[in-house]
Amino acid sequence: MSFRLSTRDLITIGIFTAVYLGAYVILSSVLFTPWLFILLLPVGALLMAPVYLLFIARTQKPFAITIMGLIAALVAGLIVYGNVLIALVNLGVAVLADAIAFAGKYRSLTLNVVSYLVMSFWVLGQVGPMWVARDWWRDLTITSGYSAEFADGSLDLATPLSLGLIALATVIAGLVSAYVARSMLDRHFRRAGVA
Amino acid sequence: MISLDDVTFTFRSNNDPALINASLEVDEGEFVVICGRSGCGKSTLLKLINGVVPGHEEGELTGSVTVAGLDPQETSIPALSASVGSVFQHPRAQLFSLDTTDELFFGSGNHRVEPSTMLDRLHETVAAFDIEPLLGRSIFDLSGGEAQKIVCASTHMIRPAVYVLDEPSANLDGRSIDELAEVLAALKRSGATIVVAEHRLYYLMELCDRVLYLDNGAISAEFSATQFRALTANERTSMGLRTIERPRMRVPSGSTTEPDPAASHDDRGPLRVERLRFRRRRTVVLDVQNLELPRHEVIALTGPNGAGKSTFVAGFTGALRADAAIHDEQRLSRRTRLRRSAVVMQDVHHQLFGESVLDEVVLGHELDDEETRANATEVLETLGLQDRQDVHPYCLSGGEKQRTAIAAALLAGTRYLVFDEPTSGIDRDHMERFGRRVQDIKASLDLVLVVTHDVEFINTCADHVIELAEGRVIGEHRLAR
Amino acid sequence: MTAAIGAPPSRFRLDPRTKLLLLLLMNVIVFTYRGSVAIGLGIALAAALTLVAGQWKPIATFAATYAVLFTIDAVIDAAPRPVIELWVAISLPFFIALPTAIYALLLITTTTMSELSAALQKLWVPAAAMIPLLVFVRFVPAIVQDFRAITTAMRLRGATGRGNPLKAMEYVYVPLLLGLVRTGDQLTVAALTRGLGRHRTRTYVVEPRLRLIDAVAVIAMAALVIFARTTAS
Repeated sequence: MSFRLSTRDLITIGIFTAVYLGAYVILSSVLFTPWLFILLLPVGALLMAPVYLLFIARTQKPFAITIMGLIAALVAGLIVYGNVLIALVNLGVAVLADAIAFAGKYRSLTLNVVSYLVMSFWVLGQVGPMWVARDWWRDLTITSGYSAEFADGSLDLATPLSLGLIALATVIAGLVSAYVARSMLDRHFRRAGVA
Repeated sequence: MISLDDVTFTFRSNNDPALINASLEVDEGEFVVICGRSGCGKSTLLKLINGVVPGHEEGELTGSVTVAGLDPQETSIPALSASVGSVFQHPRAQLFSLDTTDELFFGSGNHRVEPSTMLDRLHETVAAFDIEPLLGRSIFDLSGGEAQKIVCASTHMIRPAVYVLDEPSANLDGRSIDELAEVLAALKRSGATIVVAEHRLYYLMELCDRVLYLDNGAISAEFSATQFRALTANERTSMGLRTIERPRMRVPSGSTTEPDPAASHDDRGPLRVERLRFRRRRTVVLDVQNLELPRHEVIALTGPNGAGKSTFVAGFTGALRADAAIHDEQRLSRRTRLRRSAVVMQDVHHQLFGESVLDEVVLGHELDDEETRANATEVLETLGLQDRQDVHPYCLSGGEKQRTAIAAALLAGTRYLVFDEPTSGIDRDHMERFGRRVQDIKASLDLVLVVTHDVEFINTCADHVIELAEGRVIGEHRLAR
Repeated sequence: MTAAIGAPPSRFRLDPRTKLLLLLLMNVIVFTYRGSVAIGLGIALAAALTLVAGQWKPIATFAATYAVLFTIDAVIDAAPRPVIELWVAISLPFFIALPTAIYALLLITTTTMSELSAALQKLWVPAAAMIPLLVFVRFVPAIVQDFRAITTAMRLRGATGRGNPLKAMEYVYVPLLLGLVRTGDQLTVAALTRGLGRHRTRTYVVEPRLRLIDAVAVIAMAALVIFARTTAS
């Protein structure tokens, strides 16, 4: 396996990041309210496996997914959300997803799917700051003019159990998506000679 | 400046060589045109000069190539590009930036040209190509011709000694082709060595010094510009070449010609566009009234960019919600028009969804249905696709994709079939073959509308022409057949 | 027109590196500060910097949006409880995002893509990250156009996959992704033949330069950070 990303790889990364991230941006503008917003995790996971798995098939090199995560962190974390902590969550998830796919040399379908499931949590910082940074979230809601009652109420809902349920929904949605993606890879992208 | 010595090249994915025993010398400042049928090896020859083969598309090369004193096999494509500039077919797929000015600095920045030198070059390039009005524009607002000018100018900013252009006019309309010719003239004046591979030849006749004719991968004939111009029309046609004179529309011969027999068998009369209007941001972009569209005829819809051709098609087919009163015996609702229409798009790959040609044409039908299957086989046979029915549409040639889209439309019971620029970038043989095909199917359709800039195509294949300008019909002729 | 190209930007325009630093520092304030004075001042600073850079329109839109939000927020208390709760749910992200979003606005509206890439290059961001970033920015609008063309084609073909969302997903993805793979290949060749990747870095016609306004902005922001830290409980 070559480690050097060619110009073609870098352009592929840019294009697939535009599809992947672009879809999330459009979805978030549709779901942009706190409690609906959490649905971004399962809905995103349901839609993006064909893009992600074709992306891995087209690059098959380390750091491609990490760079995708870096752009996501810069654009969705730093510029759109203006938040360093969220950006770090974005990047960290991508690094983990990259490492998992790397373990299968980017050719193991199982590990690529696991990598996809992990990557589907990249927006966790954006959609669920109440899980990621509880104190910060509490202070922030109060500074933003909301009652302590509201802040605590939202934290009461943000339990490990509710996170687990969302995570479960995301994984199931991701598996459905991966199933569709696999059939698309076999019936289309491989036959077309691009995967 | 360019020297090929007995070069044979075979792509890795192919058994047959794409180029066989090619030898060629091009002097500094010379302007060479390469022509020949689709698949004759023109592109491969150019790719050997700019290093794209074997640097990017791999394969086996024998013989030697030297360009501007460099061996493209020993030099990386980016390094070679300081001496060899390249322009390709698809204007938009060559633009790297969002903004035209940034795009002009793209190549020179990559080559680490000093900022002050870049500025000097910019002033020169803008003056030479006359592109001042294009500066600072979003690339998404450019027409194909404008985009192609920006690509040429961005390449010129690198100041390479050699330019290779691979069918640069393929996606351009008549006026843009004239502008491209001016750009090429400016390049020639600057002393550059230029090699152009093309199907459309007329715009190059004043510029070229030499013409090479390729046939099945071999350089089979070589002409000086004078010799080439002296070829008779028959000789050119038998070589599969397009016209060398600026095509002019065949004006009706004064006397009204007999209506087409196919049309006279149908007593339903023409389709009638009583009114088709559309506004965008409060300006009227389309206003067509009382237009008759003859049945069973090949109708060409023509006009410059921005004349409203696409809006007409979108409004007619119902893809766009326009103010429309259109009659085919009775007034048609938008839904009816959507159901009865099919458009074969210029970017035909946007409309291919199936996993094989067969799957594509029966999309939305039940394949188990015996009748559908029989019909599909028949339609594929008429269009010469029977051997390709298991191939993924992505792997087809442009012409085959187009035919697949036609087959799908016919099988879906389409009655109004619209083609958007079906003949851009194809050679004479394919253009005529397409024309015959459309003539063959027109009897079974109520309307065949071809949106086109290609005057040569209109002259050889259309029955009726409608000219649009600024959203209105400015001319309508029947053509003598 | 050509005369203006390559001229150094107006002396009231910040270096993109400064804008990134300000965005980060505002984050520090939001994270550590519990109060509204420093945040309010931070918002005012961003608005002022955007205004002196000559961009009053986005600031006006931004201000108008928040004026509406604050007005509703002030009068909504009279409404029944479910309405208030709904409002809180909808408006919360806007209020939380306000202080940093205005710095993002400053960055986006007063920076061109070439300025940003020149600045990132000065910050030692490698080509392996820069090229994908540029391609990303270039392709988002192109993909939206492709998506529209494909959905139109689907409608005309009657291939809407109605009743079967997975089929509809396939009808969108297959032409979209195959088209992008093709465009990607073409763009790769076009980029290589115009020298991309020949050197590790590129030259830019305007190199970013730090000037007086950058110093003023950074000092003002630093003062705010210190103020926020010392007054934090």
